[in-house]
Amino acid sequence: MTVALRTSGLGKHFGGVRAVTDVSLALPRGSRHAIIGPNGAGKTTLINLLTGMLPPSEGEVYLGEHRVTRLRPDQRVKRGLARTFQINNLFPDLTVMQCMLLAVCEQRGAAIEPWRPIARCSAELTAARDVLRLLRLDGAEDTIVRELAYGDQRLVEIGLALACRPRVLLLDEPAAGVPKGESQALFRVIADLPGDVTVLFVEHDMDIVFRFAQRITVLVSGAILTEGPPEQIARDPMVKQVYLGDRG
Amino acid sequence: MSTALLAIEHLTAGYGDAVILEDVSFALPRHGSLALLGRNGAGKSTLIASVMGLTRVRAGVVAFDTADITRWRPHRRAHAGLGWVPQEREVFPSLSVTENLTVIGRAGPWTVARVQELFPRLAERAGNLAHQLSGGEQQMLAIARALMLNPALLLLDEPFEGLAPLIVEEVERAIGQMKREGMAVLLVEQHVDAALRLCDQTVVLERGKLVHAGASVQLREDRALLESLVTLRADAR
Repeated sequence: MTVALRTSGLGKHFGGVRAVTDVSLALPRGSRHAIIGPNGAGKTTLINLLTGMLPPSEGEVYLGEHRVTRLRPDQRVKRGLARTFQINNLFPDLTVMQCMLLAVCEQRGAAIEPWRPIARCSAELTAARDVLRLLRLDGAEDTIVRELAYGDQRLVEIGLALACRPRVLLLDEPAAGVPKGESQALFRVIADLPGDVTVLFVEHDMDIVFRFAQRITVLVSGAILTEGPPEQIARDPMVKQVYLGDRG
Repeated sequence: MSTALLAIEHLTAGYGDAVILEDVSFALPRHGSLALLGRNGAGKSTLIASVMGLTRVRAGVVAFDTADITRWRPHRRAHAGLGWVPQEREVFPSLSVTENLTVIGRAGPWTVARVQELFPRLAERAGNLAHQLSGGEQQMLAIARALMLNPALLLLDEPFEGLAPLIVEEVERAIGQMKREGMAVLLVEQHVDAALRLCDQTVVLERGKLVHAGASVQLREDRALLESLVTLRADAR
């Protein structure tokens, strides 16, 4: 089994508050892995540790064979680790196409040629359009991002991550704000990503989690409560008690 | 002027030069509950923003409790009894959880103790600054803060987003309790079944125009009509 992303004893504390404690994960290449847990369990903090947005208090992060614990977020992106944010983190005054081009050009190293006319960036334009078509945003190329409906802004957020051509894609509540039918379609897009792309996602919509995750890790109070395939997690009485409730 | 608690009459509104809502009319009775449904981009959040005075109204009237509030500033609307839980939470990041709750608190059945009973997590994090909370915790705080206003009408823009399933159940129960206590509720929610279950009336928007208004039970019992209006696979929540 080739491991795409691995953590070892990963932890983060803020003063006396232990947000993440001794988290060890191993995601095989191409896997679809969900992290669930009560609000405040440390899920987003864990994503921030994986991406380098936060330095860990202890433990290590490995991308493939390489330890990336001390790398900056942008260095991790260059190595194939892309993410989306729980609350949209976009360029609100740019058009959808401009946003996408920025990501594509950065990923391809073309961003260091600021005076190169966009019209001559045909490969980048094609790549950006491919991502927009994948997310059914091709009709919104010229729309200013802040004028998009919130759900469509979520799609742009995911598009930016996809434009980075990630080997590991981290999605923090990707379906938040996306209409139910569209979130299913969105996850079908994610599920249909090339088989060697590994996806780790945080999500509260259990319909989506149980449909698309191959394995689920349950995080409670910053620590792993349990981990397993969806059918095992759905039956786990502890998980029902602390997270799923009656409708789980 | 209508005697409804909230009356939207021929409202045309948007942002800057962009017109998002066109000629929308509906009424929400006193103590009533109304689900606002529609596809992504239909204008649901814009309608709520218009009720709160955050859009450019080009035509029509927003009336609340018999007063024409179309030109009122947002804070005046809040004082008049309109509570709002925005989709993007917008808690006060540099205030503590308790300060977020008390800074706008008004006398009424919802007190700090009661919202902490609804969301025990907020009691545990009472002294933390709002920006230190997780997304779900901020969502709880946004709902709790709106309740502390003890509004006559609560506008909820996707209140379940980011909440764990157990907490969703709690919030659903709380909305039921609010209705029983006489608070009117206007709910925008992607989880269609939850919205239809919680609200007596439903309005559906499509590209800024009202395309359906009626009792929620009608859409609950007529799935074909529901799907034709919102083309959503209503979920199991």
